[in-house]
Amino acid sequence: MKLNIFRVIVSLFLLFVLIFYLCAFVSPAIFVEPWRLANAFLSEEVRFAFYLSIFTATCSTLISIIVGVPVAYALSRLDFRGKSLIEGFLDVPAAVPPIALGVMLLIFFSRNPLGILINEGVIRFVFEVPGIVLAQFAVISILTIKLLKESFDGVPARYEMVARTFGYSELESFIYVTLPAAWRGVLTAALLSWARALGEFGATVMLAGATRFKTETLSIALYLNLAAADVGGVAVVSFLLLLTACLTLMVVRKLLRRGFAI
Amino acid sequence: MITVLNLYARRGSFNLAEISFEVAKGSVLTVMGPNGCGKTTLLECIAGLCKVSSGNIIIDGVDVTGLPPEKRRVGYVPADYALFPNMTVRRNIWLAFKKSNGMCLDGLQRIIRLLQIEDVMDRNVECLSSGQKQKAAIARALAAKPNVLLLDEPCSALDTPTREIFRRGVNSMFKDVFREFSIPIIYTTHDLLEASVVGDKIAVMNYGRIEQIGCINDVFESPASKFIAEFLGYNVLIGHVVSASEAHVSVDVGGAVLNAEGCGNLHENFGEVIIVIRPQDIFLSPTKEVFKPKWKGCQCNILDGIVRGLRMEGSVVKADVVVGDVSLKAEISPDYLDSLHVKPGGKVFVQIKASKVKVLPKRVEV
Repeated sequence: MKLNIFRVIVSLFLLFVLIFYLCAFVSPAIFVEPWRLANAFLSEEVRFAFYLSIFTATCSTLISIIVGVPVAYALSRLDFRGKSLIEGFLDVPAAVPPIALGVMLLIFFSRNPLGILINEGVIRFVFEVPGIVLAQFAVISILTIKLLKESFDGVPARYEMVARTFGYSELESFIYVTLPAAWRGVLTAALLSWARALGEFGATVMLAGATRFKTETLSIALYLNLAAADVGGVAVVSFLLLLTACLTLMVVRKLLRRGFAI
Repeated sequence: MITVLNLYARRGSFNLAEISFEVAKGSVLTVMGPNGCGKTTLLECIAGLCKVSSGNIIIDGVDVTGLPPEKRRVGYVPADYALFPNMTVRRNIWLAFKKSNGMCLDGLQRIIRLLQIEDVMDRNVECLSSGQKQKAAIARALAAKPNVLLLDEPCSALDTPTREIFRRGVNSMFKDVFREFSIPIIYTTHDLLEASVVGDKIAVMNYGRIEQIGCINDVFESPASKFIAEFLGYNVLIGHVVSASEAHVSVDVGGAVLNAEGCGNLHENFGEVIIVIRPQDIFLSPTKEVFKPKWKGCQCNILDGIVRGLRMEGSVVKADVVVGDVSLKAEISPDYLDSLHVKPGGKVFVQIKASKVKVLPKRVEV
């Protein structure tokens, strides 16, 4: 059989990428002594960081879904003047590095009169747990909106039109017809946003700070452990983040394999 | 009853104009026309899904023109059926039934029975055949107990054999269902055969306007314009009036003179006219004598012709015959073709009854 040089080259590149990531993923487990890993797993600090990450990521995902569903629906279904300008504007937060986004939020809540009023009179964000949720929301909401819009785009508007002829209002048509048709897309958006929020670091460290047992999410714990040269802690936190990402992606792939089928 | 009065609507660069008609309870209006003529836009205007610029839509005495779709009680079945995905047929029908105005459970079961979809009620809509989807969509529209039913090309997604079954079945099953509900039905299609079996009345649309509306026989026998005649596949020729009287008119069509009956409004100086002849009204004969016994005593056009081509289309043979400078399409049965012993290039006598030659003034053209 004749060897196809082109296919061999592309396969080698694929192999390189696989080995590259595999090395990165397994090295913490290989180069850290097992007793250090076990100790780190049982440490109160890692458990705190894990629970705080799960809690804040779930909160920020829920908020971004609640905000994202109407925004994505509006972008998917409504035609209005300046729509493309708004769509372009919504791409900006995705292009800005999370750390810069965090700095902007910090400046808003510490220098802007409105921000100061909110931070001191309504809810304290700066160097507090709500700040983690807000920072995660700022980073993931655009991803959530994009994924939700894609899933609403996949549901023809004709379904809602037909539902309206039966006597359903626009809101009822959305609830009874569009949402059930797009549920797989909505769930996928929520899972991917949650996974992204769980690993958020840049915006979080700027707005909520990096205080042990206060605003210490898994990514912050990773940073603090690295600063303290605690290799076991770093390895365990990395392992936990990797495990959560793998589990989330497995669920997403299972959902996507069935497609956003309508 | 539904009455549409002088309806105008705009969708992008497309305009719907001067649409007026009436459909009584229990009767079916078939709206026919080529793709893009405005059939779907018209249905969407009636359903409230497309904004109307002016005019009125009156359903059972109530002007619904300004009402949103949910207040109109219009059943709409789009061409792709739009069955809600990720749901069973039962759930689809139930969603419509929940909002119905006075539909009882017995009535719903009767619809399901009449449309013969009892066996597929618990199937997901994605697992249905095109025919089952069509019935499920009609059942769902009727479950909401509408005052008008709009069917947008319900056969367009069906394959040819299923479409044939639908055509045959429409006279029994669907007509039973439609009769049961006794509501006006507007049915769009671009299929001539379908239009001829489904409706009580027919409206032919072109570029957003209704060109002709009337009983099926009237439209098929006497198309009102060149467009309709061409759409129906008839022979359309341009000629000059040679002589005219109250009873008949003679028209020169590319060297051949055709006599037509009953054209009292034409005169010798009328100029150009349009001649319309249905292919099935052209008879090919081996002799010059009037071949059909029942035509004896009638005024008949007998012209020399040369067969240019013969081809089978379904159960008929389509023949292209050259008479003078013009080409005519004729339809004959395969059995008759065997007895005619004619081949392309052969000579025949073209016989057309004068009463079957329609003359339209050219100014009627749109």
